[in-house]
Amino acid sequence: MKLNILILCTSLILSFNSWADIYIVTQKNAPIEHISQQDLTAIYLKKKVYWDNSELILPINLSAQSPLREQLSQIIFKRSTRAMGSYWDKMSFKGISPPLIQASEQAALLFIQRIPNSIGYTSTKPDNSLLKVLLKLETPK
Amino acid sequence: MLLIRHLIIGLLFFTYAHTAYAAEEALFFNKNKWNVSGYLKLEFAAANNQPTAIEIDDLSLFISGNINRWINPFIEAELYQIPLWQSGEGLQFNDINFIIERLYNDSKLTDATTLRLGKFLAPVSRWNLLHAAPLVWTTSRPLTTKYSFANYISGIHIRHELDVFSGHALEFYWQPYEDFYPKPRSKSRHYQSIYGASWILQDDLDRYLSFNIQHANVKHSNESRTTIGINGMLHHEYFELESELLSTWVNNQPNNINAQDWGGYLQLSVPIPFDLNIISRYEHFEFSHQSQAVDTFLNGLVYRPYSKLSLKLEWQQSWGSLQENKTGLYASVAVMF
Amino acid sequence: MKRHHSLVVRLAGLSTLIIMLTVLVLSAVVYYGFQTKIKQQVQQNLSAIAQAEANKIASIIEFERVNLFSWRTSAVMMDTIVDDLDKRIQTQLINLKKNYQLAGDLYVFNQQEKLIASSTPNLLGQGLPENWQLKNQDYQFIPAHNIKFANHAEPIAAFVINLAQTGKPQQGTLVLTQPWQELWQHLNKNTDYQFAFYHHNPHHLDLITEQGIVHQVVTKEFTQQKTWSVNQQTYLGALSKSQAIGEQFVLQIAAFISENKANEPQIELLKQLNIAACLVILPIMLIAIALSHRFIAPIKTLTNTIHQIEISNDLSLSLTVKGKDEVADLANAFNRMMGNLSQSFYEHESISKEVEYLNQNLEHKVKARTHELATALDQLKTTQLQLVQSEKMTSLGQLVAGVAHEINNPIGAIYANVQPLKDYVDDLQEALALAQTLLKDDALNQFESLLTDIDYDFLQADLTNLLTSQQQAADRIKKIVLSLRNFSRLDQGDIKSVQLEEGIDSTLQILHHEYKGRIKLEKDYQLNQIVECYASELNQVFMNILANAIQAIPEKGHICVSTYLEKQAQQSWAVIKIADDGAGIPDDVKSRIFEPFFTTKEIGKGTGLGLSISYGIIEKHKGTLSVDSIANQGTTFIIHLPLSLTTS
Repeated sequence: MKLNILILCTSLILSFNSWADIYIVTQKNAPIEHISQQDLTAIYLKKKVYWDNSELILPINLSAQSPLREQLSQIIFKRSTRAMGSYWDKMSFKGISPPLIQASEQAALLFIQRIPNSIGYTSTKPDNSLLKVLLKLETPK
Repeated sequence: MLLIRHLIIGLLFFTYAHTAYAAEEALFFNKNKWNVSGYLKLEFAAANNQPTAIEIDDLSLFISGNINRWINPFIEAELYQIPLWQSGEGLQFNDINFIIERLYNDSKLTDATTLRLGKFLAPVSRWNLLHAAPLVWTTSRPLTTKYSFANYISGIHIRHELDVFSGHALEFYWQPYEDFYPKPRSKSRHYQSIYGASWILQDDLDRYLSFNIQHANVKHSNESRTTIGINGMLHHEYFELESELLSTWVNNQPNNINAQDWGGYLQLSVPIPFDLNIISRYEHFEFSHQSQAVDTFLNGLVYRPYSKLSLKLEWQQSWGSLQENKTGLYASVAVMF
Repeated sequence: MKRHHSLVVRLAGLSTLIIMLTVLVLSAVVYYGFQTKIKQQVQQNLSAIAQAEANKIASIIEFERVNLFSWRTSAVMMDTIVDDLDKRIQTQLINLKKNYQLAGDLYVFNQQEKLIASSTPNLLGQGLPENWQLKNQDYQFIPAHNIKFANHAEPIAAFVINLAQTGKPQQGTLVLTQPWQELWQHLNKNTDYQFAFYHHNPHHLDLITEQGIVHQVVTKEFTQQKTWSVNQQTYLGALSKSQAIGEQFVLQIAAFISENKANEPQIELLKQLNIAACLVILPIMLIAIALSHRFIAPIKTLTNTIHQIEISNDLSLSLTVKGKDEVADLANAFNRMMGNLSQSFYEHESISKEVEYLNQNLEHKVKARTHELATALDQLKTTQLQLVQSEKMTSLGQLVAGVAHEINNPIGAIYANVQPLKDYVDDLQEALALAQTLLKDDALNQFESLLTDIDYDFLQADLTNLLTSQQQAADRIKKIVLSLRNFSRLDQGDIKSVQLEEGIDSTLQILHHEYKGRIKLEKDYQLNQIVECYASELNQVFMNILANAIQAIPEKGHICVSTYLEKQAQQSWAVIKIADDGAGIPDDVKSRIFEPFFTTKEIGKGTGLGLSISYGIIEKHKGTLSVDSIANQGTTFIIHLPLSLTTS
């Protein structure tokens, strides 16, 4: 119940603001400079599992209630986080687990900073020398 | 008995707690490497001409590992057909069946090609690949998706992805000898030496289309079955449609009345408010060993507050067969954890 | 007088002494035996208690280790990578401390060994103490130690666990602390025992006292000593088996009990034995005196009686003998002697009485002997007659056999000649008839007057009759001869296998003239089986009984002979019943009919031996012969015979 109210408030608040841009980030020394939206979708569907150098890709998600995640979900999957639940059930049945979760954007960025081959997203462009942006998803203002 | 009951209650509680908190997180272990999950199906069946029964149809646990590109094991172990209560006999808990449903290892030969060795589900019908109760809309399973071909393969499987994004892929598989750990009490056939292929044209979030062929020799007989099928799914915001058409030539003279089993189904599910879904399905199936075909109409209601939990209630009306697809009321609870 | 006292006293004194000695020796043995046992038991108890306490501590530590392992698998522990930025780990640590009611604290350090989460606030950022660093280990248990970290004043124990999968470099460290005091609170609070942690390196004991842990350095041989001196007091002690926990800590508990306390049971035992001994001695003494008196008493009585006899000169007095001991033997011997004496006086009287008695008996005995002799003579007579009879029967049989054999041949001749004679006569008649037709006038007249003279017509008719009756007569003689042969059975006396019915039939044939015309004979033969028997003798039996039956019917009547097979008591019997409806046998006679020489006929009409012989014959076959009869209604004789003589 509390959670629902929280979501409601958050979405209300957000609705006053325009939706933010989404920056797809990875480690500075990752062997990739740019990523297409298709690839991004494939990565977050865990369909694309390895980078070109055959290293395992580690996509990082924010928590299920995160509005930024919801926004991303709408863009790349064309459906809500909640609706993606059944897709992950099916994948779980095939033995594929969903992306790791970090509770906050800062935690997610810190994770990506420290763990190679990981990829994640944030709402503000990071001015961190250890991270680089692979893709910027613009949303209608 | 007490142990299983506690286990079930614990799992249900666990699932609820976790479903509410984190919709997709698997529970234990270093999530980089291991994924542990499972599901439970509790079924209530009130078929005509049969005693009403409640049973745990499936209690399954699967563990998958990602060690490196060569070693990615997967195991699914299941307790199935555990009767809990039957009208006329009362509470009972004296029958547990155990099976290793799947046991295989995936190796990435190249980025696009995966080699799978072990026991796995036959990629013939989408329902077969995703037959777990929390993943399907109905308690009962259409004959088309299980009856006339081998559902499990114990052998080698190669999948080559042509386009990761659309899901365009080719699969080939071969079982040289007998099944590994076949279900002993099921009525299904036991096979030896199976080979087949699957051409998946589309496999993404909204659409699915595949062509499948399989040739299987039945154990302890000179019967051989050759199956071809086409399978599709369409997902839309306001409805989901899935269908399959399948035909199996059975070489088992002189017992046959017809040369083949064949059949198909069409299923529609429509989401309505309050997390409910209306399900409707029609299936027609003809057998090679009898002249009477079976027609089944099914209508059901599914309550699915979270993706991991569904409560299903359906009425199945069937003509033409006494053994399969029995007419009656069915209900089930399916939960994934 | 003086003698009596001294014997009783001596006996009583001696037995008391013996018993006292015995009791003392036994007590000593018991005491020393039990002492060792008690000592052993105390030591064993100590060991057991030490082990139990050690196990308790070990299992507590194990339980906490298991908990730590399960907490480590929690998903939020991954957040060490991001230094627990979202405080998820901290929240969980606080929850764990609350839920499990931990006395200590939980700390999580990241890969750089900086504290990133803790169950108590205001500590973050501190470094991982050196004590707690894992050196390529997955798990460590550090026992009592003081540490500056987090202001721990008291000594604590720490469980340290690596927060990554084995084989990979550390991702962080999870530490659970526990006040050392709290750990050994679990030890047994029984005030008799005391406990200590025993350490090898260096050898010392950590005594657990009310005031806390007290260090005591000990020597290497300390534990081998019988008694331990701890804190200026002596104790008995035992060690538990050492258990390794983690790589740094070896758990070994020492349990000890003060020597005085340990010796308590022994002192108790000694006291009990002493009391028992005292309690036993006094009554024993009294009993010994009483018993001595009792033993001496019979001797006294003996002496008195002898004295009396001395005075009174009465030889008939005898001593009362009580018991079976030596005194009794003495009394018995004395009595015997007295008895002998008096006996010799009275002997001569009894001898004369006996002579009189013997005379009386002699007459009696003679009578009895005579009677016996008479009976024996009778029996001999019976046997003689039986022998004679059977000899007679044997000779008769032989005679009959001889006669039958002699007659057989001429009869055969006569029988054989009858038929040709018939034929010849027929021929002659034919010739005469022809002659009659051929003769003419005078000759014919002469012929016909001759035929009239000899009455040829009558002659012709009578011839046939004569010849036929000759044939019949010859036939009859043949039958009689056959019967006689059957009856005698030429090789009589041997066991033969015969059909009994044949014997019965031939007997009936012989008796035919006796009953013909007046007695109706009925035969019901259902046996029809070969019986092994003395055939000729059985025929005698049949003859006897049938003859009796015929004689029992004065005018008209019926005789019925039946044979059948009867199964009785797993044996098969051939049964022959001969029943008549004649005069019957009255009951008083019925019991005597098988007696030899018993007959109801007039003198000279019968020997009275027939049925007794028959009875004997049936007995020889191991069969039975019995009779059923009702006066004036009829009599039935029933013979049971075994089918075979050899197996019966």
